[in-house]
Amino acid sequence: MRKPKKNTGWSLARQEEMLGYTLILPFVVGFLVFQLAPFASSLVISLTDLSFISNLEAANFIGLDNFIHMFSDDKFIGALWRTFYYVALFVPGVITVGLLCAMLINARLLMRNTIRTAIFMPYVSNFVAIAVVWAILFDVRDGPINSLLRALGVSNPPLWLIGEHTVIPSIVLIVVWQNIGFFMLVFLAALQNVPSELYEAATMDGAGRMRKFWRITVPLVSPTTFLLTITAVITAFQNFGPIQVLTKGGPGQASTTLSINIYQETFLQYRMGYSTAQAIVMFAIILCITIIQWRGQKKFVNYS
Amino acid sequence: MIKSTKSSGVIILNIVSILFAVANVFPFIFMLSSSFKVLGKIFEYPFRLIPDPFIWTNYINIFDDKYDLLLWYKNSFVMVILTLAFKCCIVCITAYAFAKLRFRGRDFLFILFLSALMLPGDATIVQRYMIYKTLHLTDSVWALVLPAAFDIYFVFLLRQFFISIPHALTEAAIIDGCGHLKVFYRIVLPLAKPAIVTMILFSFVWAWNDFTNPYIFITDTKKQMLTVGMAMFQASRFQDYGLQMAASALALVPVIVLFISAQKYFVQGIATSGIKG
Amino acid sequence: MSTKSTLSKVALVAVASALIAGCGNNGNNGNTGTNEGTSPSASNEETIVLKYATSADMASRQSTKDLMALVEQKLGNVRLEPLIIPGEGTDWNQKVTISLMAGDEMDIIYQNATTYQKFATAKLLEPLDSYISEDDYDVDKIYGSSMSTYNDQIYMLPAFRDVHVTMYNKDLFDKANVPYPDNATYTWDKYTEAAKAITNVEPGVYGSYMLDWDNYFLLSARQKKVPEYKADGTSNYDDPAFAESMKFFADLGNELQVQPDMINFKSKKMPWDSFLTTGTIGQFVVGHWAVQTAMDRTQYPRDWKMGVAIMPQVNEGGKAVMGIMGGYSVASTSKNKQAAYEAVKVLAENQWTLPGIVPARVDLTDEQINQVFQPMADAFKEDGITVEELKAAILDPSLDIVSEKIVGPGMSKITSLISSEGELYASKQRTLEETMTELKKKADQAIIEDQSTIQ
Repeated sequence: MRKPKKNTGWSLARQEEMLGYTLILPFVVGFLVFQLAPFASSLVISLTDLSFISNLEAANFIGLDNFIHMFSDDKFIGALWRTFYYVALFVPGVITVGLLCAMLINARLLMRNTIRTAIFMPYVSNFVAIAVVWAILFDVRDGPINSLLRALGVSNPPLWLIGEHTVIPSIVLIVVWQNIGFFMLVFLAALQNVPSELYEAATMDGAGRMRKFWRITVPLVSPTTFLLTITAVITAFQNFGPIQVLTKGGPGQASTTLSINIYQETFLQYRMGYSTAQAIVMFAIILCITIIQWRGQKKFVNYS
Repeated sequence: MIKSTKSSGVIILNIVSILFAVANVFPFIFMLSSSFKVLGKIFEYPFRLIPDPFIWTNYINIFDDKYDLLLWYKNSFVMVILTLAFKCCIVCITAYAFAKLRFRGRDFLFILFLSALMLPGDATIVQRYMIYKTLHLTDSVWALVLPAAFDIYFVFLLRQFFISIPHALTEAAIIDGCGHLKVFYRIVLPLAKPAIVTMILFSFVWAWNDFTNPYIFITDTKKQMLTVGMAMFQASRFQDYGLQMAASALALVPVIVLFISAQKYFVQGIATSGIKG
Repeated sequence: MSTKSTLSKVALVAVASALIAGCGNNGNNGNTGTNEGTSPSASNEETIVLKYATSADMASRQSTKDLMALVEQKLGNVRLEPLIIPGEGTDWNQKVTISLMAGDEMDIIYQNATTYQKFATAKLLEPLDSYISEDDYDVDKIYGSSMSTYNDQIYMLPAFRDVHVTMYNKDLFDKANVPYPDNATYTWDKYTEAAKAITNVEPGVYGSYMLDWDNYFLLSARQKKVPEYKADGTSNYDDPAFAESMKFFADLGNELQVQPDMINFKSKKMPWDSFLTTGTIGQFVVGHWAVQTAMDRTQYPRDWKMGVAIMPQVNEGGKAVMGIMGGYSVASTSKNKQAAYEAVKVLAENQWTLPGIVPARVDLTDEQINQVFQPMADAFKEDGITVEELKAAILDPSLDIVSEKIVGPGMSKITSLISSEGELYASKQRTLEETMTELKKKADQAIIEDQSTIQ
């Protein structure tokens, strides 16, 4: 056994601490410049009535008026509910399907490499191409999906992306489908960290598939599930890109979620102070959800 | 008896997974097929796999002098390589610190950094433009590389992976007299290869496909990235899908190549021998 | 040992940061290179470089290059440098706005009569009144009714106009045995009759085609010049004229089925140029910029003949056509405002000399006006379109140009509301009454919101 190293005067714990701070230093600097500064300026702007159409000097400080106004603004409230609806559909959807796909790939089926590549494809494709394909699939009159439904006897097949009540589920379907590649891959990396001896031992003990899943897979994969759930929540809230390409918030206001509303307030109505305040509210909501999950982590996440 | 039900289950699973895979590849096939079609035929229904007429014009038009396609390709490549280089270094050391080192304020700082993910980028465009302008970063590749390099998301991802590497392993090495950094290089990094490869793969894709940031922060057409450059294809006609599909197909090539070559890292299992004893 | 490697790590980071800073500056120097050449106190012998903000498409056209050359030639000491802003429409405006607000330097910006107001209020455009009066530039004589002011100031010199016309497929009209639209007498009733006859020619053929832009929802109301604001400043969408226009548009698709209905149009994401690419559409009412685009036979090959006629009228003999003015403004961040003003003048006065452009100037001679349409007629020789026809549809002095878009408080939001609410009605998810009520309610809200931010 080697002699313990002579320390330079700092305790080991202190050394570790200093190393820690040094390692994160570059990131801290980057964070200050690229994240904190814009955030701070957003905070300030949200307390003013800055409209895009006036210079910064002409903006007035109005305190929390923007925030107060929000709660009597139909557009904002509507957008908020629609966002929650979207998130509630997206997060469970993408986590479940992602995990299932990862398990499928992990299960040594045929052509798993090819299949894995195939599942990954939508994720790297140009979203416009994806939008075009799904537009064709979801075509109300002649699209394959509705044609099939009609053949099965459904008299009024859904309007999918054109319908007020079907547009959000349709969008979620497309975005979940596109994102599966990412979630699957990350789950896969986690699944491969699970030693196969554990499964073998369990099988020998007589455990069935479900038991193995809940007792072995889920706990060991839980740090990743935690990560991916947070990711899914954040991705769900930041749905501006896909919605703008697919429906621009339509039909009517049916898919105008918070991010779309913020965009419209900024670039269509030029009310930047107000739209930034909404962005801050969105941030606060996501933060709350994440903190709740973080706390819950102690109960549900298993760190060996 | 048991054997046959087991294998029929496996067969079904196989079929399902193949069908699912086909469904996923379809847009790519559509894209490829459309890129050889005349505009009027792209929306032809039912979908025809082999275009008739089969034209090369879309691809020829892309390489027209009007567009600096090769230049944009190069710019995107340079940007992505730079991003990956900086990102890997910064993210790895930061994630390691948060995962394995103990220091005061660690968890608080981590959540603080994580919160950066929660403010939508679209809401801060104007502020960021002004900040970058003050730092003289606008209209240069650094406006894209630097913000991307400080990506808390992958710090998060890698941290989770580092954490799941058993403490027993790292503690043993430290007791043996290894410094933290050696533990980092020799033990933790190799074990986290799948996670790191994941990070590289996705960082590549995100940087390569990024549209909004180059659009806003880069003005000079000669410095522009592929995504925005391609959008200029639609300039002469709105929605020239044929041209767009051709450009998209070309833009996809590096990503596919990267993914295929990264395949083997996902297959590797983790050496489990180190854990016992 | 750990301290040493820590130190080397720190050193690495420091070096990297220094490199970053260095590279960043170099990049910037390269960029400001051209700016350095235009010192504010440049004497007139030095060439002044003016940055002309334009879209990628415009910059690549030969006509734009010719125009820039013309300006440089007339002014002598000026060089126009295109500042290419990628994107179109709203994206383009967004990027230009962000750029200008951040203080990026631009000299000349293309605008149209519904986009410059916001820029003006944001103090991103330079009012031109003082330059005009110093110059004794007679804008009334040259531009007449094409001029528009905002808050009693002039921010844009109009260079060209775009007017709605009816593009029609002569072959389909022949097959349906319908006489071609007559510029003196074409009405919406005749348009509808023709559409019905053409749609019956064969399956898959439509007699009419329209897009989902706001102007299509309110065609006759705007032609009748029904005001969109009441005297008290609220919106006027409860006026039955608007409901009538909406119904007309929706019926074309849903009831009469002479055009792709909204569900099909949106579901299939039909492109704007279906008329040109498919040859199965009988009539297309659209701004005449589409006629210009059709001149390019390589992009739009056709084996059928096309015609251009006046936009259908509400009453026979009417002359109300929807239109919009496009022009140039000087950015307030410009460091060469006088030179930019001169260039804008030349652009506004001369843009009509390019093929396919219709002048905003009202003081041209007959000969010059013929000169405008001759190249278009030449391009359409095979189709048999004459200069007279084009003139009658596009530039006749008897034409009464009505704004194709609303101008006033809340205009951007209202424009998008008309489409989004109208779409719900046209796809049968709302009744007409519900739609108009919603539209009025939301338009009123948009007006209030807009006015609360005006300084």
